[in-house]
Amino acid sequence: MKSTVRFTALCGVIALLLYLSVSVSSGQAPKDLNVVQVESYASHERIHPGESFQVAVVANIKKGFHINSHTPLDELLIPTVVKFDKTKGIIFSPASYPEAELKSFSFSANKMAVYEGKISIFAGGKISEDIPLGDTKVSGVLVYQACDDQRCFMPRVVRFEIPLKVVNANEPTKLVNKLIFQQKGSLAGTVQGTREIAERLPFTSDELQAKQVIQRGFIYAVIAFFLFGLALNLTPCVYPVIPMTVGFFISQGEQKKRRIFLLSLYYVAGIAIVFSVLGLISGLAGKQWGFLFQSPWFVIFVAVIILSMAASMFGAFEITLPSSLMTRLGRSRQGAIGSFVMGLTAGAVIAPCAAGIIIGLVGVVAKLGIVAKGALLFFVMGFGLGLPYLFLATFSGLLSQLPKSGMWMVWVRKLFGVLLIGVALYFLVPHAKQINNQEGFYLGVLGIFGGLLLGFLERGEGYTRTFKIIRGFLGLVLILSGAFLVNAAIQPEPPAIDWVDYRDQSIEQLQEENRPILIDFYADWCAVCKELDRKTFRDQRVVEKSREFIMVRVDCTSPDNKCTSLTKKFRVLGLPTVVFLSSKGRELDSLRLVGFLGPAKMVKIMEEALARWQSP
Amino acid sequence: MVVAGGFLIGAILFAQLAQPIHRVFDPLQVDKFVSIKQLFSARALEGVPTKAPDLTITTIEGKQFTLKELSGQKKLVVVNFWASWCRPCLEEMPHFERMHQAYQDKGVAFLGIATKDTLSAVRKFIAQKGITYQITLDDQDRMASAFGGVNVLPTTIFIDNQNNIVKTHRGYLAQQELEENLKGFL
Repeated sequence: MKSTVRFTALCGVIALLLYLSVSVSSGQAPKDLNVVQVESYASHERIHPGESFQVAVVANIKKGFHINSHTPLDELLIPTVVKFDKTKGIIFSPASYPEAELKSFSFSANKMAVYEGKISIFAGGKISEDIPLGDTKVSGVLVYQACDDQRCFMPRVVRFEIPLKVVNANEPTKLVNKLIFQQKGSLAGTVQGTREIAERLPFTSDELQAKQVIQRGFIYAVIAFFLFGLALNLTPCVYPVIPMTVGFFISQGEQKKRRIFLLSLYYVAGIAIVFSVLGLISGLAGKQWGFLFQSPWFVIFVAVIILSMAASMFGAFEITLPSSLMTRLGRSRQGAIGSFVMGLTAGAVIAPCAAGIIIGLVGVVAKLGIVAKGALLFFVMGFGLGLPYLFLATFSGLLSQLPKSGMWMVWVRKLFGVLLIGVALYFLVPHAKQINNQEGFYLGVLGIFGGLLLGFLERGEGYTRTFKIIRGFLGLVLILSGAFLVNAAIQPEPPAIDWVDYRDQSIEQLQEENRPILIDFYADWCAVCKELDRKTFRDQRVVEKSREFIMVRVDCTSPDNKCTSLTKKFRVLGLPTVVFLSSKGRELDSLRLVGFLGPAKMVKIMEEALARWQSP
Repeated sequence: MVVAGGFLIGAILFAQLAQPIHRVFDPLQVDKFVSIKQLFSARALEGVPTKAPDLTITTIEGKQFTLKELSGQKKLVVVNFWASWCRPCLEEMPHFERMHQAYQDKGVAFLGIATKDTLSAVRKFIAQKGITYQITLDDQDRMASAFGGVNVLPTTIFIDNQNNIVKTHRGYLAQQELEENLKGFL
């Protein structure tokens, strides 16, 4: 009884947190918070006395905000400045700042010289000959003052510190961050080219945000990842797992309450492990998750597991392990392993869909190189994701032992059998390319199938006459609506946007048309991509705007070489990703879109791309 | 436990149905999760009227009074945190001046508090834009922190006769909105 109370309290807290996480983002509380994130890099990690090095201070300015340039047009405004601390044995050259953008804002008629997006400020340094060997550091501050078009934030002074080790001339030096300091020989980075370099910097702004969370403290990161996992339950990615969970635990038969709970724990652990392993693989190898699930063998494997579960719901067989294995493991462990394997399957069902959402965190873990911590964090996230299923599973397990669960329970099991067939279809359908509206087709087939099975074919004992009539009628309705859906799905639906197939022409060829280019990285198995397509790219406003662009769609449903090379070239780690190219063929920075965006915002971004695409 | 689990699942389903995910929770803005504490404090600030701090104020012309004295004499005091380096602030100050002209006989006092600023820059701007209402310079953020910290400029705070903060507005205030506020509080 006590444990029940404790559990209720725990759940209350979790539900509250969930509620808060929902309302935090909708709350109107003004956010000062860090509209600018500062990174600092040095060209060397180990250096000899007498040598020169370079320093880059990179400011990531949140979208919608700007900071004054180093030379604002009005003397009252606070300029952006990098100042180095005086350090014994190091001389700094004056910093070189990027060129300012001249922009007018709603609050001022006059143009202002500002920085937006990502900027890099470079400076050179020289180590004196007589510096003592050992650890030293390059430190200083970045001063900036940020505004958007409604308000300003207080000027800020952000400290940066870069460790540097002075070594004996016999020891090797070590160059780092080569991407940032590509211009060899030049002491300070020249003004041209800084923008281009900023684009190649290792952290994206989303990743920087996540990085901040992680670096604020490990406990903090654990909580954040847990909440993040829990919040993934608000995405459509988890829909297929709900019938899976209920189905599997209903089919477990009679068990003690504590045991059901234990089995549920194994199930959730399975989900969590999938996430930690995938997080690691993609973090270490830089591979995108979705592609891991593209192997036809994997798809068939998952579909078979789920279909066999469905068959067992119809009473074809009970899910058990081979008897030889069973005797070795002992009866009591068998359920646990089964639950664990089902948990792994559930994780595999969620993962491809969730990949696009989690990808920022994956990148951070990879780039911070925190392998062990990263695995733990992803496990925690998986556990947060799985937590609701702990209850759902326990609940379903308990359902099957309610008194008088006889006839309707059999029917409920069969209903879930049909739903499981649906889950298997969910995995298989995206591979049928010739179907236009795959979701409609999917629902339609499920309707026909379910109607036939549940309404007519299924033979159970003890059904009353009325029950049979009702279910026959419902079955008929299901079949008819299913047929309607399938028919509608097969009808070709004209695409709203005239997508250029990336296989037909190279990006360089398209460049010659001298129109701005939008590239949409898409795949059929990516639920968010489909949502983006359905809600945004078919919206009238977006369709109209799209006529001013060359719209290129890179379909990575079954990735070929060209798709892979493009995702590499544009460093696409998660789908959907939309990038805009300037007239020079470079990506327009800070316009990249990862994940879903509504049509109104998309139009805005497209307009911004139009305004900027001629810029160098 | 079944009840608790049901409750949790119900809560999630409710959230699912209530709003589509992308509005509910922007997955890439992880930092929103960590501001639960801020949310509480921000809500507490906005909902409940709190007393304005009793500050001693010396205007740039050398007049000295306390905020409590001022609000006691007036029906409404409008405190505006601004800075000469803040463009939206400079843009809205002529509105304040116009409202000051129109409402000074109706029991409204305006007080501009320049934040992180220099006396010379403030003087220059006041002369240039012809501001005639009371202006003071907040040295060392004493006044801003007395109001619980001001992190956005402009911030406009409305204080009633009983020294209660009746409204805090962060960001640019258009003249029409300012006047509506004045009428509402009088």
